[in-house]
Amino acid sequence: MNSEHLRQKLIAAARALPASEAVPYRFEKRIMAGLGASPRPDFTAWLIRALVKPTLICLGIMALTSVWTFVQPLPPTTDNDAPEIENAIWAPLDSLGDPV
Amino acid sequence: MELSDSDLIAATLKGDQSSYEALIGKYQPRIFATVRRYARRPDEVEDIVQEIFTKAWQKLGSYRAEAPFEHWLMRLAVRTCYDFLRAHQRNREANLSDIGIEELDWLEKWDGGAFESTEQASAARELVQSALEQLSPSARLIITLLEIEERSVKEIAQLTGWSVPLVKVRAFRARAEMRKVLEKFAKQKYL
Repeated sequence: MNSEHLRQKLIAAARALPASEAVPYRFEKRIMAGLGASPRPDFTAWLIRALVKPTLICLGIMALTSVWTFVQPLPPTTDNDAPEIENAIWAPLDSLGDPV
Repeated sequence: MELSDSDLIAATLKGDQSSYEALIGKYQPRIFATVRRYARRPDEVEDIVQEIFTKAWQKLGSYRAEAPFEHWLMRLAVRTCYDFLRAHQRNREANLSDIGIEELDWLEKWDGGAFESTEQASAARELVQSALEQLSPSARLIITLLEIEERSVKEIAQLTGWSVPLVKVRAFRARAEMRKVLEKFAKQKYL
Protein backbone atom coordinates (compact mmCIF):
# COMPACT_ATOMS: atom_id res chain seq x y z
CA MET A 1 0.00 0.00 0.00
CA ASN A 2 1.14 3.52 -0.84
CA SER A 3 2.74 5.25 2.19
CA GLU A 4 0.75 8.47 1.64
CA HIS A 5 -2.49 6.49 1.65
CA LEU A 6 -1.39 4.68 4.80
CA ARG A 7 -0.49 8.03 6.40
CA GLN A 8 -3.91 9.46 5.65
CA LYS A 9 -5.55 6.38 7.15
CA LEU A 10 -3.43 6.71 10.27
CA ILE A 11 -4.39 10.37 10.62
CA ALA A 12 -8.07 9.45 10.15
CA ALA A 13 -7.70 6.79 12.87
CA ALA A 14 -6.06 9.35 15.17
CA ARG A 15 -8.91 11.82 14.57
CA ALA A 16 -11.43 9.11 15.35
CA LEU A 17 -9.78 8.59 18.74
CA PRO A 18 -10.31 11.74 20.81
CA ALA A 19 -7.87 12.14 23.69
CA SER A 20 -9.45 11.47 27.05
CA GLU A 21 -10.32 14.46 29.24
CA ALA A 22 -10.44 12.34 32.38
CA VAL A 23 -8.83 13.96 35.40
CA PRO A 24 -7.45 11.97 38.34
CA TYR A 25 -9.44 12.41 41.52
CA ARG A 26 -8.66 15.67 43.35
CA PHE A 27 -5.82 16.44 41.00
CA GLU A 28 -6.21 20.19 41.57
CA LYS A 29 -5.33 19.59 45.25
CA ARG A 30 -2.06 17.99 44.17
CA ILE A 31 -1.26 21.03 42.01
CA MET A 32 -2.18 23.47 44.76
CA ALA A 33 0.05 21.61 47.24
CA GLY A 34 3.04 22.04 44.92
CA LEU A 35 2.64 25.80 44.38
CA GLY A 36 4.77 28.43 46.07
CA ALA A 37 3.84 31.91 47.25
CA SER A 38 1.01 33.75 45.50
CA PRO A 39 1.92 35.33 42.17
CA ARG A 40 2.07 39.11 42.05
CA PRO A 41 1.49 41.44 39.14
CA ASP A 42 4.74 41.58 37.22
CA PHE A 43 5.29 45.33 36.78
CA THR A 44 8.73 44.89 35.21
CA ALA A 45 7.24 42.78 32.41
CA TRP A 46 4.43 45.30 32.01
CA LEU A 47 6.90 48.21 31.85
CA ILE A 48 9.08 46.41 29.30
CA ARG A 49 6.06 45.60 27.16
CA ALA A 50 4.85 49.22 27.41
CA LEU A 51 8.26 50.58 26.37
CA VAL A 52 8.88 48.27 23.43
CA LYS A 53 6.46 50.02 21.02
CA PRO A 54 7.63 53.61 21.65
CA THR A 55 11.25 52.44 21.42
CA LEU A 56 10.62 50.81 18.05
CA ILE A 57 8.84 53.95 16.80
CA CYS A 58 11.79 56.12 17.93
CA LEU A 59 14.27 53.79 16.22
CA GLY A 60 12.19 53.92 13.05
CA ILE A 61 12.13 57.73 13.09
CA MET A 62 15.89 57.75 13.73
CA ALA A 63 16.53 55.43 10.79
CA LEU A 64 14.31 57.49 8.48
CA THR A 65 16.00 60.73 9.54
CA SER A 66 19.43 59.21 8.92
CA VAL A 67 18.41 58.05 5.46
CA TRP A 68 16.88 61.44 4.70
CA THR A 69 20.13 63.19 5.79
CA PHE A 70 22.16 61.09 3.36
CA VAL A 71 19.72 61.28 0.50
CA GLN A 72 19.00 65.02 0.72
CA PRO A 73 21.23 67.06 -1.68
CA LEU A 74 23.79 69.27 0.06
CA PRO A 75 23.34 73.08 -0.26
CA PRO A 76 25.60 74.57 -2.90
CA THR A 77 28.91 75.80 -1.49
CA THR A 78 30.66 78.94 -2.72
CA ASP A 79 34.39 79.44 -3.01
CA ASN A 80 34.09 82.68 -1.01
CA ASP A 81 33.21 80.97 2.27
CA ALA A 82 36.79 80.66 3.53
CA PRO A 83 37.68 84.39 3.40
CA GLU A 84 34.31 85.24 5.00
CA ILE A 85 34.97 82.88 7.92
CA GLU A 86 38.51 84.18 8.28
CA ASN A 87 37.26 87.75 8.36
CA ALA A 88 34.63 86.85 10.95
CA ILE A 89 37.25 85.20 13.20
CA TRP A 90 39.75 88.01 12.94
CA ALA A 91 37.25 90.84 13.10
CA PRO A 92 37.58 91.43 16.90
CA LEU A 93 41.37 91.60 16.63
CA ASP A 94 41.22 93.89 13.61
CA SER A 95 38.99 96.26 15.52
CA LEU A 96 41.72 96.66 18.20
CA GLY A 97 44.01 98.23 15.64
CA ASP A 98 47.75 97.57 15.01
CA PRO A 99 50.07 97.09 18.00
CA VAL A 100 52.43 99.90 18.55
CA MET B 1 -23.02 32.84 39.91
CA GLU B 2 -19.90 31.58 38.18
CA LEU B 3 -17.00 34.02 38.22
CA SER B 4 -15.31 34.97 34.96
CA ASP B 5 -11.69 34.09 34.24
CA SER B 6 -10.58 37.70 34.69
CA ASP B 7 -12.29 37.85 38.11
CA LEU B 8 -10.60 34.62 39.16
CA ILE B 9 -7.21 35.84 37.94
CA ALA B 10 -7.60 39.18 39.73
CA ALA B 11 -8.55 37.37 42.95
CA THR B 12 -5.59 35.01 42.58
CA LEU B 13 -3.23 37.94 42.15
CA LYS B 14 -4.63 39.42 45.34
CA GLY B 15 -3.63 36.23 47.14
CA ASP B 16 -6.80 34.14 46.98
CA GLN B 17 -5.50 30.65 46.20
CA SER B 18 -8.98 29.11 45.98
CA SER B 19 -9.60 31.21 42.84
CA TYR B 20 -6.64 29.58 41.15
CA GLU B 21 -7.96 26.19 42.21
CA ALA B 22 -11.22 27.09 40.46
CA LEU B 23 -9.28 28.00 37.31
CA ILE B 24 -7.48 24.63 37.46
CA GLY B 25 -10.80 22.85 37.90
CA LYS B 26 -12.19 24.61 34.86
CA TYR B 27 -9.31 23.98 32.47
CA GLN B 28 -7.69 20.76 33.60
CA PRO B 29 -9.83 18.41 31.44
CA ARG B 30 -8.72 20.24 28.27
CA ILE B 31 -5.11 20.34 29.43
CA PHE B 32 -5.17 16.61 30.23
CA ALA B 33 -6.57 15.85 26.76
CA THR B 34 -3.88 18.00 25.12
CA VAL B 35 -1.06 16.41 27.10
CA ARG B 36 -2.32 12.88 26.38
CA ARG B 37 -1.64 13.54 22.70
CA TYR B 38 2.09 13.78 23.46
CA ALA B 39 2.72 11.53 26.45
CA ARG B 40 1.49 8.01 27.01
CA ARG B 41 2.33 7.01 30.58
CA PRO B 42 -0.16 8.32 33.19
CA ASP B 43 2.62 9.46 35.54
CA GLU B 44 4.24 11.46 32.71
CA VAL B 45 0.90 13.02 31.78
CA GLU B 46 0.26 14.06 35.38
CA ASP B 47 3.75 15.52 35.75
CA ILE B 48 3.37 17.58 32.57
CA VAL B 49 -0.07 18.88 33.60
CA GLN B 50 1.30 19.82 36.99
CA GLU B 51 4.23 21.62 35.34
CA ILE B 52 1.84 23.56 33.08
CA PHE B 53 -0.29 24.80 35.98
CA THR B 54 2.80 25.59 38.04
CA LYS B 55 4.24 27.67 35.18
CA ALA B 56 0.87 29.38 34.73
CA TRP B 57 0.85 30.22 38.44
CA GLN B 58 4.36 31.68 38.27
CA LYS B 59 3.62 33.69 35.11
CA LEU B 60 0.10 34.76 35.99
CA GLY B 61 1.41 38.20 36.98
CA SER B 62 2.52 38.81 33.40
CA TYR B 63 -0.85 37.82 31.89
CA ARG B 64 -2.34 41.04 30.41
CA ALA B 65 -5.71 39.76 29.19
CA GLU B 66 -4.90 40.75 25.58
CA ALA B 67 -6.15 37.27 24.58
CA PRO B 68 -8.55 34.94 26.44
CA PHE B 69 -6.95 33.11 29.37
CA GLU B 70 -7.64 29.78 27.65
CA HIS B 71 -5.47 30.74 24.66
CA TRP B 72 -2.67 31.89 26.96
CA LEU B 73 -2.87 28.63 28.92
CA MET B 74 -2.99 26.50 25.75
CA ARG B 75 0.11 28.25 24.45
CA LEU B 76 1.87 27.40 27.69
CA ALA B 77 0.61 23.81 27.48
CA VAL B 78 1.74 23.27 23.88
CA ARG B 79 5.18 24.72 24.59
CA THR B 80 5.58 22.56 27.71
CA CYS B 81 4.59 19.45 25.71
CA TYR B 82 7.12 20.38 23.03
CA ASP B 83 9.83 20.70 25.69
CA PHE B 84 8.81 17.28 27.00
CA LEU B 85 9.07 15.75 23.50
CA ARG B 86 12.51 17.27 22.99
CA ALA B 87 13.71 16.02 26.36
CA HIS B 88 12.53 12.47 25.58
CA GLN B 89 13.44 12.20 21.91
CA ARG B 90 16.20 9.65 22.58
CA ASN B 91 13.60 7.00 23.43
CA ARG B 92 12.01 7.24 19.97
CA GLU B 93 13.69 4.34 18.19
CA ALA B 94 13.01 1.88 20.99
CA ASN B 95 9.34 1.42 20.10
CA LEU B 96 9.64 0.55 16.42
CA SER B 97 9.35 -3.17 17.08
CA ASP B 98 6.23 -2.60 19.23
CA ILE B 99 4.07 -2.40 16.11
CA GLY B 100 2.54 -5.74 15.31
CA ILE B 101 1.76 -7.08 11.84
CA GLU B 102 -1.91 -7.36 12.86
CA GLU B 103 -2.14 -3.64 13.63
CA LEU B 104 -0.68 -2.68 10.28
CA ASP B 105 -2.97 -5.20 8.54
CA TRP B 106 -5.90 -3.69 10.37
CA LEU B 107 -4.94 -0.16 9.26
CA GLU B 108 -4.63 -1.27 5.64
CA LYS B 109 -8.07 -2.90 5.73
CA TRP B 110 -9.79 -0.24 7.84
CA ASP B 111 -12.41 1.63 5.80
CA GLY B 112 -12.41 4.75 7.98
CA GLY B 113 -15.66 3.86 9.75
CA ALA B 114 -16.35 3.58 13.47
CA PHE B 115 -14.34 1.10 15.53
CA GLU B 116 -16.22 -2.15 16.02
CA SER B 117 -14.97 -2.86 19.54
CA THR B 118 -13.00 -1.29 22.34
CA GLU B 119 -10.17 -3.73 21.58
CA GLN B 120 -10.04 -2.44 18.02
CA ALA B 121 -10.05 1.16 19.25
CA SER B 122 -7.22 0.49 21.69
CA ALA B 123 -5.22 -1.34 19.00
CA ALA B 124 -5.71 1.67 16.73
CA ARG B 125 -4.66 4.00 19.54
CA GLU B 126 -1.53 1.90 20.09
CA LEU B 127 -0.67 2.06 16.39
CA VAL B 128 -1.19 5.81 16.20
CA GLN B 129 0.90 6.45 19.33
CA SER B 130 3.73 4.18 18.16
CA ALA B 131 3.84 5.83 14.73
CA LEU B 132 3.83 9.33 16.25
CA GLU B 133 6.56 8.36 18.69
CA GLN B 134 8.90 7.69 15.78
CA LEU B 135 8.68 11.31 14.61
CA SER B 136 10.97 14.14 15.62
CA PRO B 137 9.50 16.48 18.28
CA SER B 138 8.66 19.26 15.83
CA ALA B 139 7.14 16.82 13.32
CA ARG B 140 5.00 15.20 16.00
CA LEU B 141 3.82 18.57 17.27
CA ILE B 142 2.90 19.79 13.78
CA ILE B 143 1.16 16.55 12.77
CA THR B 144 -0.85 16.58 16.00
CA LEU B 145 -1.89 20.22 15.78
CA LEU B 146 -2.39 20.49 12.03
CA GLU B 147 -3.70 17.10 11.00
CA ILE B 148 -5.16 15.45 14.08
CA GLU B 149 -6.58 18.49 15.89
CA GLU B 150 -7.16 20.24 12.53
CA ARG B 151 -5.97 23.66 13.62
CA SER B 152 -5.07 26.38 11.11
CA VAL B 153 -1.47 27.32 10.30
CA LYS B 154 -2.02 30.76 11.86
CA GLU B 155 -3.34 29.21 15.05
CA ILE B 156 -0.33 26.85 15.22
CA ALA B 157 2.01 29.79 14.72
CA GLN B 158 0.40 31.52 17.70
CA LEU B 159 0.51 28.39 19.85
CA THR B 160 4.11 27.48 19.10
CA GLY B 161 5.63 30.92 18.66
CA TRP B 162 6.94 29.88 15.21
CA SER B 163 6.39 32.05 12.13
CA VAL B 164 3.72 31.07 9.58
CA PRO B 165 6.32 30.16 6.88
CA LEU B 166 8.21 28.05 9.43
CA VAL B 167 5.02 26.18 10.34
CA LYS B 168 4.39 25.47 6.64
CA VAL B 169 7.95 24.24 6.07
CA ARG B 170 7.81 22.05 9.17
CA ALA B 171 4.43 20.64 8.15
CA PHE B 172 5.82 19.65 4.75
CA ARG B 173 8.83 17.97 6.37
CA ALA B 174 6.65 16.30 9.02
CA ARG B 175 4.45 14.66 6.38
CA ALA B 176 7.52 13.35 4.57
CA GLU B 177 8.94 12.09 7.88
CA MET B 178 5.71 10.28 8.65
CA ARG B 179 5.63 8.62 5.24
CA LYS B 180 9.19 7.38 5.86
CA VAL B 181 8.16 5.94 9.25
CA LEU B 182 5.23 4.11 7.67
CA GLU B 183 7.45 2.76 4.89
CA LYS B 184 9.77 1.45 7.62
CA PHE B 185 6.79 -0.25 9.32
CA ALA B 186 5.68 -1.78 6.04
CA LYS B 187 9.20 -3.03 5.26
CA GLN B 188 9.36 -4.61 8.70
CA LYS B 189 6.05 -6.33 8.02
CA TYR B 190 7.15 -7.95 4.78
CA LEU B 191 10.61 -9.05 6.02
